[in-house]
Amino acid sequence: MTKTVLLIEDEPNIIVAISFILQRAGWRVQTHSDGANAMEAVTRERPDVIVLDVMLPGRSGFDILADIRAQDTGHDVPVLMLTAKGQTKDRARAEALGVTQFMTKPFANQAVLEAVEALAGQKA
Amino acid sequence: MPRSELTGTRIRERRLALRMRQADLARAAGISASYLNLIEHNKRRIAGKLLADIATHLEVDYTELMRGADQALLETVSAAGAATGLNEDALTQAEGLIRGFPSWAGLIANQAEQIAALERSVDALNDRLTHDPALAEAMHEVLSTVSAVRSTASILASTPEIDPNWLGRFHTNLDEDSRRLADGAEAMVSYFETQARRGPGFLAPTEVASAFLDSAQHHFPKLETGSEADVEALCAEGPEDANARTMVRTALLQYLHDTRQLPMQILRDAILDIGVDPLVLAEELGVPLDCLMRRLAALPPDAPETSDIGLLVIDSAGAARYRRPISGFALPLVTAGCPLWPLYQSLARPHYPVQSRLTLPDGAVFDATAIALPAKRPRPGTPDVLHATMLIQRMPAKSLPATRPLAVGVTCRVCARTNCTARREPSLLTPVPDHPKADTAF
Repeated sequence: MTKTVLLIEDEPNIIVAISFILQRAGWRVQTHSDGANAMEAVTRERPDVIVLDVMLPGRSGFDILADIRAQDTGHDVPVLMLTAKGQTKDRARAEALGVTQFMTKPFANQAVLEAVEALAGQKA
Repeated sequence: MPRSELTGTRIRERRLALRMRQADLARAAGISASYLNLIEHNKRRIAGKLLADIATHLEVDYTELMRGADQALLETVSAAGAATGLNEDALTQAEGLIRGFPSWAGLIANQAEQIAALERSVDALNDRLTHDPALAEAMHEVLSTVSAVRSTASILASTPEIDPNWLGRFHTNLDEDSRRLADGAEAMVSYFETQARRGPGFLAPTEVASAFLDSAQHHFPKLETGSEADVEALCAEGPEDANARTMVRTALLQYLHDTRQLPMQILRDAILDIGVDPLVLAEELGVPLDCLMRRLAALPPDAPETSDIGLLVIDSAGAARYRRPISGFALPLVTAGCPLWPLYQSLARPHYPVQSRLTLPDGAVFDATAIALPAKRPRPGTPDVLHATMLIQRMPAKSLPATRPLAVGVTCRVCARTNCTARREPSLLTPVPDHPKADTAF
């Protein structure tokens, strides 16, 4: 069965590039670029893995992560968080909120693909 | 050569204690009164025969005049050694290093100060990324664009047989992102170039504003009889950074307001009559104590009391709002001071002045007067915002009783005092006990 990744990211060209890589590897990719109603997408899509940016319009990635972990169902979905390089305080805060893995920008396409596949394997 | 930062001050103290006129001492030492004035205000170094001659005329051993400088150098060299992990045995060699190799000791001290300045710059930059949302967002924008370019280019490079629709789309994206990246990089370079023009490292607006006020020696003749237009004119000559300029404007508007409450000539006449005790002056002149203290800190540079006065104003959070430095008593701008200072004690009892005679670890004695007052008229339902003002004076105030001075420090990190109940962090200068007592942190 095809697995689903939800990409919550507001940079359109990152969405295009990452979607291309993941779809080519057999993933079903859903995207959402507005932080304000990102939880609606999480509830609707019920993804196998979430890739979540820290800085989003409307609501921060940290707040969305906190809501994901507070859900009754699906609260343990693996979350790969994308942070800016050098922001160690971002990493500490993400860990405290229950992030599964984080990756700093700029990242390599292969690294994202491998991380998503590994996280999906953990969930299974 | 050991730094003589405090030597001039000690010469002046001794001369005043002997009630000797500056011109008389200068004549006896064979120098001009104006040159002696520069020495006394630590604007000229002094050593060798001239120092020995002056010491003779002041009826004191010349080592007494140098003692303060040696102590300051010893503390700086010791702190530098402690920061690099030297053990206690090595630290005891610092005094011998200063005596035997004063030039090398001075070099160590200078380099330690440069390192500290660089560390403050790094901290300020890290702090700026954390607390400057505009800069953090700009950095995120640049890194996101770089990520998009990298991902897109990687796809094109690794996918020789790519669908033409995708190919066209990726080329368009690369073109867009390249332009955004160029614009973003230019904006960042411009931002950092502006920061560099303001001074060494990446200074916080507080430091930039303070540097401007220091350069004017905290006295603004145009504002003594001026208006708000003069404030704006001074701001136009001030820092380029908008935040620092706002801080300067706030300080100068307060200065202007103070001149109208207490004209400088009235203050100077009162000082001649009754001295420089701020409590006595405020009572006699009928002005609020904080205003009086700010006016004392605004005395003209040529006033005899000027080099003996320092001022620090903080808000309820302990953040510095205004600082006039004084030689021999380090008043912090971005770090916290000693919790025992009257400045912090006054916050616990707003409206009540706190006055104490303080002694620093090197034995220097200062008088401190502080008061915390509301920054604005209190309104029901809103928290009080207090500003605490502390005046530091080198000359003793007459109204203080001859009691034992309160032993204080400058800041815990470099304070050698032991068994201090107010200590908040270990000192670089003393070893941390293996098992601290439960009721004391260090």
